[in-house]
Amino acid sequence: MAITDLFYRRPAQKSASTADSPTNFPTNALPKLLSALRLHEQPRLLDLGPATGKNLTFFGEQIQCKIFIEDLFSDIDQHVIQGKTSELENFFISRFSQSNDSVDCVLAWDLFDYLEQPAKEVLATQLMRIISPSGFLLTFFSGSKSHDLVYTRRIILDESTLQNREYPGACNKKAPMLNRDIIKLFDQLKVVGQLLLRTSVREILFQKQ
Amino acid sequence: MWKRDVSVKPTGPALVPGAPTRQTSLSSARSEFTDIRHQHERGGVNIGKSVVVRGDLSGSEDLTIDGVVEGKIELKEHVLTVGPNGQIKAKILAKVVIVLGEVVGDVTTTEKLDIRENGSVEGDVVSPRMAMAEGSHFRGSVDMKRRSSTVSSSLEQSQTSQSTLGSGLRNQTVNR
Repeated sequence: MAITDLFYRRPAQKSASTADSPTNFPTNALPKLLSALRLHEQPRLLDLGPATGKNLTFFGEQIQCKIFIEDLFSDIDQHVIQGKTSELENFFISRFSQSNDSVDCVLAWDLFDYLEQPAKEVLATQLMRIISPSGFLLTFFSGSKSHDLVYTRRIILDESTLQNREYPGACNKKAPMLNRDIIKLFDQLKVVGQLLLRTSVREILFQKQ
Repeated sequence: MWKRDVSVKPTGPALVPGAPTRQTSLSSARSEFTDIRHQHERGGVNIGKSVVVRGDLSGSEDLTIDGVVEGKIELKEHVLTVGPNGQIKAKILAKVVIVLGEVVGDVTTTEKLDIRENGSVEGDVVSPRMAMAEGSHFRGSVDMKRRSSTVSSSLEQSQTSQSTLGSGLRNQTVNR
């Protein structure tokens, strides 16, 4: 290897390291969700992603939510590591202890991207069960499949800006869903806000009818 | 000249390859010493990592736990620090709770819950403020609505069931 090769490789290494750096992006659904939640005295919010300090502070202090953290990404990781991915659908049937119509908002972020169709259907059914009438579900759906074993943490910077921070996981994104399939999956909910981001991620806010 | 060198030789642990530099170890030792001194000035108590406590703990001074506690912890007006080696399976009531170790159980504070890097909390939290560092873990529910009257009444209620030791802590079983 010539000594000049070392210098050619440097920019490539730099770009790889910056790939994990946080990126900010605008959100249309979050302001709508927040204005609706502010009408409740103490809305009950279920976050299906990992707990982040900024989100807890934001929803807890500013919106006065009662927040429940159920990190399903860690559940998915456990199933993948144990080679029991096919058992996820049965797992989701008994995963949620919440009673019917008891949660005002669910943050599912991009959880559905990492699940196979049977598990998606069970999870969607469970979420529709626990969401209260006129309650909300905020989700992100990726527009492309990925082989990268990374999850994305969504951090609320302010009411109209989110930040992505990637962290390592055990599962990759599955084939993207078509819009009609997404709507069919949540047949008891109606779409109240939708935005296609530059990254081809679809941000969808559902409301229970 | 040589004698002068000997006189300033640090008395801390010997330096080994891969260990922090002398400057770093000195500064960390100094900060640890400062923490301990501050704790003594505040009248704090430290439960070491070899201590296992099963039962209820209550106190009227700041407390640092680096050992294992199972039961209930009450520090009505004081700070509870769960050290990096601390393993708590207990219901906690305190003014401020700082977690660097593991906590499994419900946590109620009147001021703040602070989960530091590598700290872990699993349980239901009632606290007007909460901070989570990068690399910390939380699972459970959070209620940040200010209900000082509810918290203080629950504290008083539990206070009546057991008397507090003025300068120390009381527990049922202590195993060293």
